[in-house]
Amino acid sequence: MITQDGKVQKFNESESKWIQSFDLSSIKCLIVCRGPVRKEAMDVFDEIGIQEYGILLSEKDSIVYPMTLAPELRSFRFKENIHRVPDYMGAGQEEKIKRIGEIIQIAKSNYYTHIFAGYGFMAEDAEFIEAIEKAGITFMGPSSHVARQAGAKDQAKKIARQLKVSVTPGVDNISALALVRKAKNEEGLKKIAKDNGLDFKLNAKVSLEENAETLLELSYAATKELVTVVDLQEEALSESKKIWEKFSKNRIRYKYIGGGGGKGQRVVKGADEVKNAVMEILAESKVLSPGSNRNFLIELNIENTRHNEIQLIGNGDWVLALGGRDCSLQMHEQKLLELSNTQELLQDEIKNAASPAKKASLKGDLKVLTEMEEQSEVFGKAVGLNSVSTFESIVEGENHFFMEMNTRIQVEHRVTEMAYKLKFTNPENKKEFFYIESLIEAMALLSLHGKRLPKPERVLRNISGGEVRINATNQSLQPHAGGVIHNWSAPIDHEIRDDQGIGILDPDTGLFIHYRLAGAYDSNIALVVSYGESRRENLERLAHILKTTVLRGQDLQTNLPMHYGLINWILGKDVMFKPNTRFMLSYLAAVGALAEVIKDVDVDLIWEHLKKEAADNKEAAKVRARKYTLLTRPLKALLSQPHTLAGFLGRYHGKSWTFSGNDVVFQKNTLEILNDLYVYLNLEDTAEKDPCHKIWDHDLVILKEGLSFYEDLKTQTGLECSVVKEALISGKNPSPKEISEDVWKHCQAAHHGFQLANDILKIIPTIGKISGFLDLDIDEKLDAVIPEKFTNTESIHTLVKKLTPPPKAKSDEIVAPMGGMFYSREAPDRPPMIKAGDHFETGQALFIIEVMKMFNRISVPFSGTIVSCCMEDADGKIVTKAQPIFKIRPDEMIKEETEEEIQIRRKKVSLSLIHQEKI
Amino acid sequence: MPESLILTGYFSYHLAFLKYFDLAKPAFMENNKHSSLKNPFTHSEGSHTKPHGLYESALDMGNQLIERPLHGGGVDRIQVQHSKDRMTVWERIKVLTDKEPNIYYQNWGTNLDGASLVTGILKVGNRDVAIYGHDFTLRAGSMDATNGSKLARLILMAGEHGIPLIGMNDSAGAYVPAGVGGLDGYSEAFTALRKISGVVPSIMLMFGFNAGGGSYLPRQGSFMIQCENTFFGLTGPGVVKTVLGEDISADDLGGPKVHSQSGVVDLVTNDEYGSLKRALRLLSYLPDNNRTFAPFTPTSDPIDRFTYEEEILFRKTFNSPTGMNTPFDITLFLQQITDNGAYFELQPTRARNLITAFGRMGGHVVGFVANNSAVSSGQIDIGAARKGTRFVRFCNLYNIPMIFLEDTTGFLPGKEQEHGGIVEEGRRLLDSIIDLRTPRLTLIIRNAFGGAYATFNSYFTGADVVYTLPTARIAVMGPAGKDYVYKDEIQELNRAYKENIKNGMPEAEARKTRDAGLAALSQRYERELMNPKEALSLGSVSSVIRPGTSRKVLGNMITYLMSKYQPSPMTGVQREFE
Repeated sequence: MITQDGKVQKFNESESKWIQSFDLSSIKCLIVCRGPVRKEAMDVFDEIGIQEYGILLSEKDSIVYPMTLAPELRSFRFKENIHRVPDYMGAGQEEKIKRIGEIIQIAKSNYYTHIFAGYGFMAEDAEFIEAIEKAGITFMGPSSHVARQAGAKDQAKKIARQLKVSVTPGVDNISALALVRKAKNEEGLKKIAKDNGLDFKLNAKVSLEENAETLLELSYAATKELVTVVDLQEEALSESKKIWEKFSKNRIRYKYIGGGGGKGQRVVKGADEVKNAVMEILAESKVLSPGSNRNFLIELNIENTRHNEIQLIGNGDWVLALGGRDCSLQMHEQKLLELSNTQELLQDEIKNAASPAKKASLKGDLKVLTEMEEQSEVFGKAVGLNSVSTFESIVEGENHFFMEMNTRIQVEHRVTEMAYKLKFTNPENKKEFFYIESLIEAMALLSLHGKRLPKPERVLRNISGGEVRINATNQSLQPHAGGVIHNWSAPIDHEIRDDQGIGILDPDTGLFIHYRLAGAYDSNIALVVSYGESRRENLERLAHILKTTVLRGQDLQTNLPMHYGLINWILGKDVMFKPNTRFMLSYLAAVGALAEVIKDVDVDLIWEHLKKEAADNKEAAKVRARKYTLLTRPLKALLSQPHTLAGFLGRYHGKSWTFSGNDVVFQKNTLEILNDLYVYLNLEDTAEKDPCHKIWDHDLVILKEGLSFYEDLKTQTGLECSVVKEALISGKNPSPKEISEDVWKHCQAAHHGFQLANDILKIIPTIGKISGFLDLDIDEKLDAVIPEKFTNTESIHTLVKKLTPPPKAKSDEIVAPMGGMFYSREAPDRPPMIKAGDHFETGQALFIIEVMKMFNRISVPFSGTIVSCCMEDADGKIVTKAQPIFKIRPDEMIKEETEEEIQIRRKKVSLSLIHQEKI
Repeated sequence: MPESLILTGYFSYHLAFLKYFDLAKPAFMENNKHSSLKNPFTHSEGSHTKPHGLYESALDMGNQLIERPLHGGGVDRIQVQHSKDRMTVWERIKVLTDKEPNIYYQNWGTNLDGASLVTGILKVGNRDVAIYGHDFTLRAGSMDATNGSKLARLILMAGEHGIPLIGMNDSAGAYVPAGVGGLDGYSEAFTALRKISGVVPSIMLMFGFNAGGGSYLPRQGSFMIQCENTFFGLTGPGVVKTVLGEDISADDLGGPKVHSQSGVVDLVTNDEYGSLKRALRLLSYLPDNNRTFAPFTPTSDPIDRFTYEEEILFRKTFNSPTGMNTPFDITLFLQQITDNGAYFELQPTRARNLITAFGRMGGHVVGFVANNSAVSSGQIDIGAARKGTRFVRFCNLYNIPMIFLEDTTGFLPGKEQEHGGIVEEGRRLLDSIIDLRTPRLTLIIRNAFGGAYATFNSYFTGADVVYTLPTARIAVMGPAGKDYVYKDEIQELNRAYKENIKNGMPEAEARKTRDAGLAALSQRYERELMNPKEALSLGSVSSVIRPGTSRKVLGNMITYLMSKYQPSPMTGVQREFE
């Protein structure tokens, strides 16, 4: 709780009786989730002064992987409250029920009053919550009745429709509608039933449509045709027209109910396509024969989906919306970067918008947000929301459609915490009030004092909040497990890091404890949150945090470079960018296109080549040689990581350089661009950095000297930048009064020296251009502009692969790595671990070699398919080292390329960059 | 040079020098495009017209001398060093400590430049550490008689003062123009390092490209850390090509992937920075010398905590389908018993059938030697024996108590091993354990068979206490032992089998009967002999401990034994073999 004067205080420490009455010290809470939210909950609980808390500890967090002991334990205060469980949740339904029982047993026998499930899988499981409630324990989160009503998608949508909450327009009972049209009324239905000899009884309690549904069911059983294909075509046309009235630009999706895998689906653009589309999906689904169930869905096709959500809080009587979050930057259903979206932010941005198009676009956003907030409150109230939840919508242009409500706290809840805090005021005395900044604290408060809590006001904390999810993923954002963190720099100013406790130092030695990212649960390592007085400041801070974060270790791969690149790209375009949910894939493909080029770029070769072209004279050659590391070091660093390069291109394209045809035209002094590059790469000179992590001292001397030269030249002459530049080119002293001819001569020499060889920087934009990366852009309406190359599924696949070439096999067989006894199965009563025709993944165990009664599981570091097994029925046979076990077909074979071939290719690509030839 | 520079402290000095010398005025020539890297507005011409007395001249000379070693081979050479992504020796020192180094023999050498070697004492945290580092920018960091002597002095001083040594090796080898002098230099350094071996621990970092003596010398140290993109070896690939006609890259000849597998280096890192930081982490487990304990850090992790995870680990492993024969990673156990679960593995990418690691128990640094059934069944082969021997000898010399975690089916037999000399390597491990004088415990986790049992810190090799878990299987032989123990029973089964066939029983049925009998014998063997009972009855094992209490039992015993142990240098008879 935050007091009126901004101090952190426990409720029972307050001087106000009213505030004291919200004391939380009676809570003893069992935390049943893991991940960053577990440590966050522990910290919040410590701060708000609950009695005590306990956690579950799974085998994967303790004994399955080395160096993966749950880091929270290093500072855990209640050692008796660590409850060992095989896992946090169950794999199947049966195991889940067992686990629920286990958790409740633990809670009961240890006298826990509350259970907190964070954003764990079970947090919105009505069955789980109900069991807890029945056991007399309070669930710190929405009650089971909320979870039940709001959690099921169809149920939630039904409620939403009744409440006039905007949902995706469409119908799911086209057959029934067609039948109703035919029958006109109840009598008509009866007659149709009679005509077809169907034993149908009208149910007066339900609607005509539902009766039609019942009659249809009977007809399917009796294979009688009540509705013809023509009827359906007509009905589809009429329903589609209704949708087009409102959404004239959208296409409409027809989807056969039993369809799947793209079969029985059509997306139609206009009325003339309807008839054929209906025919085709029914034919494809093989339901043209009379009496078949031909029902299909008609729904608005959302072309440009953005994922927006509203944070809700309520106590069952009141509900309050806490602004939105834009979570469109996601990949494989995993959100990556989440930004707050508030009315205050949008109003500010509308005020400052440079172009009318942008202003209009933002106004649309404001309208959508306002509507969503209103509707979410209506919905939350209707389902009796008595904790926190998230109202999830998809947004397209100025339309928004409710999808579902997540009845739990979400990973990205801190984004909202950055934007708003809650102000609770005593209704009887307006002078008594307190603030809550943590949503978890709010959950605790609601779980204990819910009904007594007055409706709070939301008070703006920051205009913008944002969260970056740090995941253990490779360059193409696929999970990469097994790395060990050796060191992670401490959080800096404006950085909030939820890292599960990985950063807690060894309490005895003060050293960082090595931690393995086993990837047992998910690839998320930490959440990095920041805030700002504007979204720009927010993103700048996030970029700075990512830039200065030192995360070192063995075999470590994270999405940190991706985030750094992406945020810089956005900063370079427009911070109010409105990506859709498919943007990340296109972006990744574009970065893949960069990777494809830079793998063959040899900076040294280019440097040498340029030397030949500019063999001025001895003096120049000396100066040039002196600038070798100054120029090539940051270039090499930039070109070693496509994501980093992507961010630099996004940030500075159009600002530091433009193109005239294929030629790069610098818009800035190249020395300043070089300085920008050093800063961007975190190689700028600061006192606390070690020498290898910043510009080499001899290079710093030149850079500083050069920058001060141009600065001095400007101040000495008092002339405009462009005039000075002109003079330096022409060689004519621009102001003989201030600068003597002798000094001017030196100035020209200095200019020549400082600019010499800087042209090599041109390869940066050139790579951006030839790869097509620079065509990825944002338009005035803040939507992404994506070239076809990066939207086409096939080329995306090829390009993304460039970021992480899969491990390759050298041969077409797998051999025994050691001598011993071969087994194809783990135990005699088990099936073989793999058989001919099966596909195997990298690292999957394929067979067992027993050596001295120890059973070693053997795997290989690549993926492929088993062609045949050389050890058929050979369990228990002795094999020798290197004896073939399987014939295989690897997914990726090594293409042998000679060193010469590689060199020729690299030379060709590298030189093409300076000659602007097409590769 | 302006006076103020002398006062600006050691590090800014370095930079100031570069600025002064490097941006020299361009030589203007007619009809030529001139080029300079100098801001004409800040470098005014010839303003040094202050009165210059004798004192100032002396001062100037002094300044030049003071700064000379800091320039190394000049900015061109430094640039070359940097272009290979390598730091200069001075920069490496800065990574180790932010405190000013205490440099000895600053101007040593005919050129008064330090003779391509920097020697000094650093304050790292609150410990004094002797360091040396080759300055590759001067004569490629090569050795001659002069700097060999300089190095020897530093090494001997470290030994005399009892402070650890960190070596930053970046040397092309002997300085060829120095002739035999270069070799003498190395000899002197070799000798000094051997003399302090066992007196103070040393950590050798391999940077750049080291050949010849530049490889031997560091390996004389206690631990070697090599980073990626470096090479060391007897000679480089060039010589190998000329002499032997072998075409091989430097990385394939002497890169980290080679040395980490042969066991020549103990740790591999990504880059120079990683090596320097790793050295400091390793140092936190090492004592200053052979007369003191390794740094003791009182622990907040209760020594008597019951470790549920230990129980769960065993239950899960031994109740799995493959039962008592299921391999498991011993470090999973190790992390349960050490203070805060922290441990530091040496040679972590090779011979992992035997784990050697430092960790703390109740605040005391302990050396762990553990059989790891997850790799090659935990059998001790040549690689494992070598790894273990080195580690045991180190702990012995430096008064570090040891805990042996035993789970091995024995030494690995076979042609490859015999031809490679397993008898000698196994013997070394055995002898190193016999010689061990520091407090030492054994915990038998599962398998302890035959010679491996006898060797692996058994009571009779001098263990202070041997504990066993209930899952232990202490026997002369593993499951194969049934052939000897039940020789008569097996003969009888075979006889019955033949008899049955003779009597007209179908072959398959006869075989089935015989195999059932054999399986029953196997089970009987496991039941009756594969357990700790016999060893307990003979006093070969002190006591059985409950899973979950390993930390408490081992930790308390280490604390007790350490309270009775005085750290002191090894004395006594030198044995015939190492």
